[in-house]
Amino acid sequence: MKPLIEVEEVKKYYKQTHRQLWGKDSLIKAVNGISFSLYEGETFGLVGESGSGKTTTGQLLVQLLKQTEGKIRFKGKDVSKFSAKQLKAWRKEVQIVFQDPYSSLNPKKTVQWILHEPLALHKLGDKSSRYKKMLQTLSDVGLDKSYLSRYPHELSGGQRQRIAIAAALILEPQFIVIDEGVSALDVSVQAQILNLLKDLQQQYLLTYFFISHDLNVVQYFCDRIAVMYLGEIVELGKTADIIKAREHPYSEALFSALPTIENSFAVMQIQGEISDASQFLEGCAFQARCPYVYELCKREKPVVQKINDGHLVACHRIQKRKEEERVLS
Amino acid sequence: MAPLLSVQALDVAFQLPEGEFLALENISFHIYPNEVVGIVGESGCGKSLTSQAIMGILPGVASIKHGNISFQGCSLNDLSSREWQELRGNELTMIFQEPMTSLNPVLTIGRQIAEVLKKHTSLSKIERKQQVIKTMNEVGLPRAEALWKAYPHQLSGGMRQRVSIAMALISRPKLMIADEPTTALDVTIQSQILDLFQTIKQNHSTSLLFISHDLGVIQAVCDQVIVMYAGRIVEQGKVEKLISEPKHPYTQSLIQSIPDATKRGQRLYTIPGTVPHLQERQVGCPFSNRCTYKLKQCETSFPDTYEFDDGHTVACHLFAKEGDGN
Repeated sequence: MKPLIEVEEVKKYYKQTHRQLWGKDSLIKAVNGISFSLYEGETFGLVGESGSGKTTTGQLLVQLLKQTEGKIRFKGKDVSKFSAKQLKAWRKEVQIVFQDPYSSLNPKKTVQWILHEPLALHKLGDKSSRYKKMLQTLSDVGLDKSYLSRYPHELSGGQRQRIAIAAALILEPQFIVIDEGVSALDVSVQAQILNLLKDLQQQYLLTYFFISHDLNVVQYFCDRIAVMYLGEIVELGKTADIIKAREHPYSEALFSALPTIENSFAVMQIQGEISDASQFLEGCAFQARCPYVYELCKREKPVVQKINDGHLVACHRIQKRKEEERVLS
Repeated sequence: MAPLLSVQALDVAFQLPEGEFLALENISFHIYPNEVVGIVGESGCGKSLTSQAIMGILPGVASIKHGNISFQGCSLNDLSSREWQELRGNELTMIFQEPMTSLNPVLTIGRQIAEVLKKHTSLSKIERKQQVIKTMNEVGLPRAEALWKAYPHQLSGGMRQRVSIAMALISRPKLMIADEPTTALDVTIQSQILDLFQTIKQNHSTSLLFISHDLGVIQAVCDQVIVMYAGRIVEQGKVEKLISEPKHPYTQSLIQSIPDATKRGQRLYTIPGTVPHLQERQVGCPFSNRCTYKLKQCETSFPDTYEFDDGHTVACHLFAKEGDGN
């Protein structure tokens, strides 16, 4: 199967100007060389702690941010080489839904305006066909036409998020980045929105890039999961593999820290907190908190290892184990 | 054993331009010494309001209409503001959700924590500092000496929350109230903070009222749990029992709608409709218009509370025995 989006060694660095007089500028490596592919119709989950670069990655995918290095291809075409016209046409295909429906909708505009704006910007259809499209999209997200004249403050959190999804959906995109799209919602509303997203995906064959810090939601909702730590993807695999056999110590710590109603105690707990992306270390990004850290981890960056088809891990421990297995056989 | 805190038939009303609305109705529960009680529910159900009523920090538009809150046997309803000041931050302390906003940005960490001792004890400056550093170590704040002079903005979210916990713990309170203390934190940090609560529970004779929307978190720290819906307590019981055998339809559907790995590929259970707004609450059971087991009497009267073994109580008409429904 051909991938819809290919991400190749993408980096996003920010320059931080010196804080102190005579101080040096430093680089913040928000995203530090990530590669993966997204396939049509799948839901790809990205998890990690705050500060790991999840949101930056999402914004790079829809080119709200330009990468410092690396390539992003959409259906084989390099998006950084698009002309302004091509870029605008492409923006119809890719959309983003933000976390907080309270701040992502313009408070001074009605739902009708919010839904009409994308159609007007892309000069699609005439007045009557636009109106029809708006009604259809509203019904797709489970709302009726009485909502057209309402303002965001008149809506509940769940309804607002439905409007944000409708605004993303109205241009019939192929790909939607959902950046913490259900995190601000109550459990019962969250379940409604997740079901809605599932239905829409089947109906329109959408591809989702689902960013979340809520591991329960990600495990339920995504086909594949990538775990990010300090701007790097440390593990990537099918959800079933990630649930069953996590290999990277960080993924293990992250998933076992989750209190669920079945299991409320962490099997493995890591100490400390995620470090600042400006204090760049040699070697593995996770070395400071890793319980298994070797000398090697402090010197060299681990190479991505393939555990099985589609399950990738970047860890020296796995590398070592693989080498031992090779020697034995 | 006498309860440390008892809340009896508490009603709290909001004075809004449209009129007076009851935001909390008939809230009754007890917290015993050394017990951890959790309150769980969706936003707008009155979790935080309950804690504010106990702390005597209700917002200006809200007031206690009826009922009684007593702490260590004496009623809190008619304390003077001076008596409140002696109680609050001393025997009764609180940890808020957002450590960004609950700390004073222009005071150093050391001074903020020490302020509690300055207000409530007669310790000297040096003794206060010793005490603060001891507590900072206890809540897992490293390099306490260096942190003494740090400002809140220099600390990460997890560290700030540890500072709030240190402030709440330093006066050796009888009861700590924690309102969503881990909601703003990452899971790995959340797990560290939950562990800290476990340690505090073991090492101090402090009771804890723990408010959260996350049943997983509640299960990790609490002994007893209270489920609230639209200003009412709908179910109450031992945490394991309540989660494994929820009785109230709301609790059941809440547990069913939590997504997790075991529900992959299935549609999530959803509760139809939304939580009624304060102004839209009607007579009868507030959950009745979303409930799949709705009976005729649910629309007209709020159910009595029915008790099962082990103090498990449910307010639902489904559990009324033949003959005693009216």
